[in-house]
Amino acid sequence: MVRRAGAASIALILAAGLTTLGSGGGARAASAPDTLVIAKDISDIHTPDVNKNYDISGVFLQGPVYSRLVKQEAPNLDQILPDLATSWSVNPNATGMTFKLRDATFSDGTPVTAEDVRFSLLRAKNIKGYGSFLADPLKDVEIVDPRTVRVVLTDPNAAFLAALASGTLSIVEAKAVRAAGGVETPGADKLDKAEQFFADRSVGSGPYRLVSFVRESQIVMERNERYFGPAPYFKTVIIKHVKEPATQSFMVQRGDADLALDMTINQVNAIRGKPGLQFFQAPSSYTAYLGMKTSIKPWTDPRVREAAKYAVDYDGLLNGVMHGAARQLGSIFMPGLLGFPESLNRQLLYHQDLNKARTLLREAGVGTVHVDFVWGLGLAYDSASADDIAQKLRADLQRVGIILDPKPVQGSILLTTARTGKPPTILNIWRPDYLDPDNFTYFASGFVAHRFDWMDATGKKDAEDAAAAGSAATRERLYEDYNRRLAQSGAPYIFLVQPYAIVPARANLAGYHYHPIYFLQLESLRRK
Amino acid sequence: MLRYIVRRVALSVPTLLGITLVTFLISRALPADLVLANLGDHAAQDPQLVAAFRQRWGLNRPAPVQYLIYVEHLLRGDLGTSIATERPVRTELALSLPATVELASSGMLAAVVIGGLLGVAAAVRSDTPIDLAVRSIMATGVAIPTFWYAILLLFVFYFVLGWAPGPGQLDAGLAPGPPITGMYVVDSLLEGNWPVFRNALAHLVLPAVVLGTVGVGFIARITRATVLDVLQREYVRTARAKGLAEARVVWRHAVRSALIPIITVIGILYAQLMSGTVLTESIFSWPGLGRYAFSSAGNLDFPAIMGVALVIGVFYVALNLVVDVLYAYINPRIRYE
Repeated sequence: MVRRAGAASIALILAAGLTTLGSGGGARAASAPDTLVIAKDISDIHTPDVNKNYDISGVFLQGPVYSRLVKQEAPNLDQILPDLATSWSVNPNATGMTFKLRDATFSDGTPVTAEDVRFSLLRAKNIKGYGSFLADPLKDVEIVDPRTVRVVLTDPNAAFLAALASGTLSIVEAKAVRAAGGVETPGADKLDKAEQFFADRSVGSGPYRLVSFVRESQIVMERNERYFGPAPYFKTVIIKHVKEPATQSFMVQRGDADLALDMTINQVNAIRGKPGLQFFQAPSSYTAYLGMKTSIKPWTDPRVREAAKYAVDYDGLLNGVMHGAARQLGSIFMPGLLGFPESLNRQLLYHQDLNKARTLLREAGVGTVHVDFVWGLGLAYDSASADDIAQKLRADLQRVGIILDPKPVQGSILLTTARTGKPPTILNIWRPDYLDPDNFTYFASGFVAHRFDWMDATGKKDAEDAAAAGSAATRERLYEDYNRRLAQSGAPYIFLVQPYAIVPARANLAGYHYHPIYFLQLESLRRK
Repeated sequence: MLRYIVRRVALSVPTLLGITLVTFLISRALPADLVLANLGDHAAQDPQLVAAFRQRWGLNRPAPVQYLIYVEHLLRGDLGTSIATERPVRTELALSLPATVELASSGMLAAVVIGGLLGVAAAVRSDTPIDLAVRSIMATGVAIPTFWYAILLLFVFYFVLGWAPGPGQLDAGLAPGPPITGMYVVDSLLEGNWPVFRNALAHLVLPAVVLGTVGVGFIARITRATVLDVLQREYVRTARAKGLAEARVVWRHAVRSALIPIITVIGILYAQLMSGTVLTESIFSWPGLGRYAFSSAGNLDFPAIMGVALVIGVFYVALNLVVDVLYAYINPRIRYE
């Protein structure tokens, strides 16, 4: 009796202690009206250095905290808008761009000058971080006057203007970074010592300033009172590292997070209708495709590749697997980009035709055939689950006798595996580094095409000419042809879907705008 | 005893070196290209960048030379530089280790106390409903899938009841003070930072319960078995016959004699927990060694992988030594020469 009472007492004390600790352990940040909490897996961030960072989640350390010369915003993401530069001109052969800077300051009050632009762009190039390739076209950056800077390119490159909107090419305060050991000259990869300087301070001119970054824990930002644009609503923004989407779901339902950024469509559908929630939806920047290596059977025969395109049940993929949270793709471009309007996308779409598929296979002399199939286990492309898409493709192609033998790899090494060029068949995605059609042109002759031992000379020329063309109309025509080349029957790609980004959020949020590179535009969010 | 300890420490050096060699060989045997994994699509197309990368990370040298260079640096306390972050591996481990020590130690403490008590209760009350209940708990603790259990606890205590805080070491926006040990609970206690102390302790409870449950199962089982065995011994019967109180018989005579195998299991379990538990750390977004090891493996970050393997090896060696030393204190008849 005494022992039972003792055990019950212990249990009661434990429960009471848990309650006290849990409820009184700290204020729920999400309940503070001027604090925004975002639940996101940010474990992929390797460095806080804005000019080196090339991690997907690293954009949270770049986008809201720093400005760039130009920007792209929803809903017209293909348009280049002023950011730190108020105006610019591009020389006729697209080898140089001159920017006029606005009257702006960094978060510490130091004026932004042409020297900061010169330092930042050259540092990004010479520090040889993973994102430095974005600055490869740069030859030099010249200071015309304190508010005018000229970017000189090694070759004609009309797409570089859009590349200047990417996070790695953010503008930092040269004086502060130099004082911390930052270097912009050739050899910066060995000489620069400023990396850790960026971990708990920001030297940017964005709408927010960085308060702290703790790896695999959280990013805390506060409103930059010296921002040159409209002051954002939220005084504090916290990106809280939450690895598991299930946990993110708990947090957003409880109100401990205002937004959850990593949930798949099935997870989202499980909480639709729950009180206190709303769901934002927008086409993501992922474009998913199945790649077929043309030097490995059965993909050596273009008729077999075409047959596979007709075997896929695209409607089933869209409505069954994706629950309508995606759109079908006719090419690798994001629909709406220059050279790929929605009308062209619809023209290039394949539709399931099993009879045609079987006929093509008979003509190719192919019966039942096995081929290895690689995808990333457990990977999610916004709302899309790679596992679900892979199983659907296997089932579809099996109906015409093409057996995709599953050879999935752990999600974190899919990219490495793809880069070897060895998988005979692979489910992969493309996600752009910047929003310009040029960033999608690796599929006719670039390193992506190389993986599948395929090259289209016309597509290659289209891409090269478009990159050098100064006229938007010329580029548009060339990219349209490029997309047609990719969609031809013998091309080694089956273009699948562009998943939607579906973001569960608290119902009292407004002003959400998805951004394909930066996830969302923080400065436009507010409470209702 | 001191000579014994010194000799054991000295003998552990070849063991640890062996661990680094095995890890090195396995890393190099992986069918994965370090260059492709780390350089990115564009950079990997540039022969100059590839050559610079290989030179930077010593990949242009023969494998035996690479290993010898690693050992040479190791003897100077340099665990190398992480390829993924380009920071010293020692620095990276110093960030992950305290979180793991804090979590593993908390879980272990709970497991030892609860598992020990349950095991003794089951042994003393063997073949009774108490024994049956404890054996059910033991089986559950050993068999329960950690991933599912962690989500279940989070769902019930955080999401439904609101008794526990969410994932992570602290609430969103709450920042720890300057690090002393790196363990948030310990540091905040030392600094007198009570809001952070309470919050960090609250966040520690659920993941510690997950780890502790597994430990309870193992510890209760071994405790029950050994105490039950000891309770059959003649000297225990003699102690009872002499009129000693049952509690004294159990705790002073039976349990004390049963401690050696129990401590052995505790040592092994503790080393396992200190190796990091990826699944628990994933669910609770706990930035510990398990998560670090998992992401390093995914990034093919060989220096980090070897650093983790070495640290885990040190744990096992150190804990084995502690267990052996404790044997001598528990049983004075044990002498080490």
